[in-house]
Amino acid sequence: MAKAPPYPLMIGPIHPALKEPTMFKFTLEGERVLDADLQPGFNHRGIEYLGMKRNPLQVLHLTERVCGICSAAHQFVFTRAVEHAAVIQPTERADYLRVLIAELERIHSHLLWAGVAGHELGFDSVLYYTWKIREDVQDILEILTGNRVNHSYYIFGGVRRDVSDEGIAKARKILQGYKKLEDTVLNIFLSDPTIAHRTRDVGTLTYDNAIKLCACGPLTRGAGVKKDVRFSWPCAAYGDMKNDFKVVIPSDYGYPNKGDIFSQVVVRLHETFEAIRMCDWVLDNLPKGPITSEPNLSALLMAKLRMAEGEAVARVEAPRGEDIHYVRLKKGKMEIDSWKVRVPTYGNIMSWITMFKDAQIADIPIIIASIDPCIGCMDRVTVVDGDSGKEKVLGMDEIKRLADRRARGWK
Amino acid sequence: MTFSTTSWVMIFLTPILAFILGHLFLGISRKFTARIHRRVGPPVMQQFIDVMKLFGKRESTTHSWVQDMGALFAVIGVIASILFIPIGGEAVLSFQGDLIVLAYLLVIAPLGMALGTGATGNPNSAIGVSRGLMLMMAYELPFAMVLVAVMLYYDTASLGDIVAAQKGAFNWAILALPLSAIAADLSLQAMLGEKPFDQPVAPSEIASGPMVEFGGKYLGMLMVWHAMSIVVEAGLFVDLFLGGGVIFPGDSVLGLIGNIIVWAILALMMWLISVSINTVFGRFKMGQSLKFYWGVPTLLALLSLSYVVISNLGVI
Repeated sequence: MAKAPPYPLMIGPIHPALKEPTMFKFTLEGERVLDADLQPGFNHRGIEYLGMKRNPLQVLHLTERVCGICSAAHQFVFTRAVEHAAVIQPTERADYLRVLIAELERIHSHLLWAGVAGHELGFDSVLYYTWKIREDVQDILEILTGNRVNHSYYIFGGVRRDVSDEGIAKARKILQGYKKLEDTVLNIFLSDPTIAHRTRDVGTLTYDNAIKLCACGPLTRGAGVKKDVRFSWPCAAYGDMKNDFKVVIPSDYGYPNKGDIFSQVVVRLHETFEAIRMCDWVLDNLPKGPITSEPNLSALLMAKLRMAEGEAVARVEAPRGEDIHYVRLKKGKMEIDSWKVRVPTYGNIMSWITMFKDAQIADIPIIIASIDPCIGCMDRVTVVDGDSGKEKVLGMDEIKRLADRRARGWK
Repeated sequence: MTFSTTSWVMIFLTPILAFILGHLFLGISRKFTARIHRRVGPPVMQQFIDVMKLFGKRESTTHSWVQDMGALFAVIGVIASILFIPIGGEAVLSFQGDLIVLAYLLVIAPLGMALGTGATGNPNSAIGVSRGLMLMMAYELPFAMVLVAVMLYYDTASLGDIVAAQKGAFNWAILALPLSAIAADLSLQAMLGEKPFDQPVAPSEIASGPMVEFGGKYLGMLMVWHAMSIVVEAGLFVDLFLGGGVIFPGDSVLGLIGNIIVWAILALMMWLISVSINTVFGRFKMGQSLKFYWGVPTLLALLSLSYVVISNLGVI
């Protein structure tokens, strides 16, 4: 019998394996992937453009909406960028509280990822288990900030609300509960034969490729690259805790630095429990003092931000990897002059293509999920002409022109 | 073969019973899985509600008459198979060699679905169907050996006779042929399409595979097929190895009803065992499934078969 020719398979823009719209074009031979191509661009929201129409205090709340899961990370890095540009110094207590919220967010994001990975492997019991224990960290976030997802906690010069002793006691209790669960969770993921079968030597990103493709976050650490902004470029309280914690790579926990999906599971789970210890450390060493250097918001806005002149880049390790914001402020201008967001997923999508090499159809969902993609953060718009099939990427002027036309009621 | 009035009544009643039991089983299993996941879960009647809703829908599109016929084919195949399964010791159709006919009928329903989905031209369905056929190749090998072993052991190819031969205390085939029973239960896992062998319908990989182009009444028909095939397959195991649930004398109507209830409870038990395995496993890859089925279950079935052959020859 003649060999069947390779056939195409589209995954996306909407597919059960994808949590957000993006598109993959695969060329398959039987169950094996021969070639893979990626086409993003289905979820652009023009959030940077929106930001440039508003003053920094308003944009602060917009930054949270860049991503649905790492909302605090984006706010954290944006406040740092604006503080650099406008020369505002946060207080010491605020620095510690910022790190506390960022680490709590890492716990909830990694647990969420672990559940999604279980689901992509067809292991739904794991999904329900991890998402159930994730509720506890959401409770801490709600106790400390008042909200589960969009905390609105960071502000230029500090944080927006102080933590009470009662809140700290509750948080400590819940963190203690997590420490008891550590062995159970690690056992579920790292000792289970089906998870090991499905993730070992699947979707491998080698050490060289991780560096060459400028990947970031737990993806690179799985390959053994010690790349973590918290330690290599410490900000806020991370500098103070540098001696007590170190970058999580699999070889420190008795696993090879292979860069396959199993290594990523190892990195993310151990990072989760490392983050729990970091939260404990912050609560132990929390300094006394004011939570913000400029409590008067109108003074902050009118005197400091409006009169600031300068540009800055800030970076923070979000749960998915390095998150970079660039901000430029002009003197006398209320709005932000320029704002650029570079999210971790944008640095990681190129790794997909090498990871899909020699994979099977069954591996596709877990490889897609493994980099923890956040398409909503990352997307840029592409317009396809239905008649000619041509694609073009729209620039800012074009989007503006189309928006103006729409506002005038044209189509 | 001539039919009495009772047989005619049974021909209509048996599929209805299988329909009700199948959906009840699915409803119970959804609740059961939910409790393991620490969820509340949908009500037990949810499956009936879903199917009724689907049959109440209008068709928006159909790809060809092959797709229409395919779904029908699957339902008819499973209705034909349920008539051969002794329920409470009494099968509607029973004759010498009906187990062999049943072995063929069991394949007809999935083939009907393969036909229907093949006509839709969706690559996801095509992958699902090819995975289903590959999986069938994997589990049919040990299962066929199990059937042969049971037939040789009881020296009959009639399912009714096999059930009748297991009458009495501790006379069930699961005690006589334990290795065959284990092999059959392992095959049952793939036959029912439960994890770790649910590759043909893997939702996150190929968007539910074969079902992807089916909606409304077509999907309703496939759901009916799925529900009834659970009853057929779990019931077949009960008839082969658990004495067909016959514990009361079947002469009176009350005794027959009692036997049917016992049969249903045993079938539900087999289904829940499969569902429990389902909750503690992820999904295997195709290669891993093939390797599994041609390993341990085939070996167990082969051992059991050789035991039966050797003891029939009178050596032991």
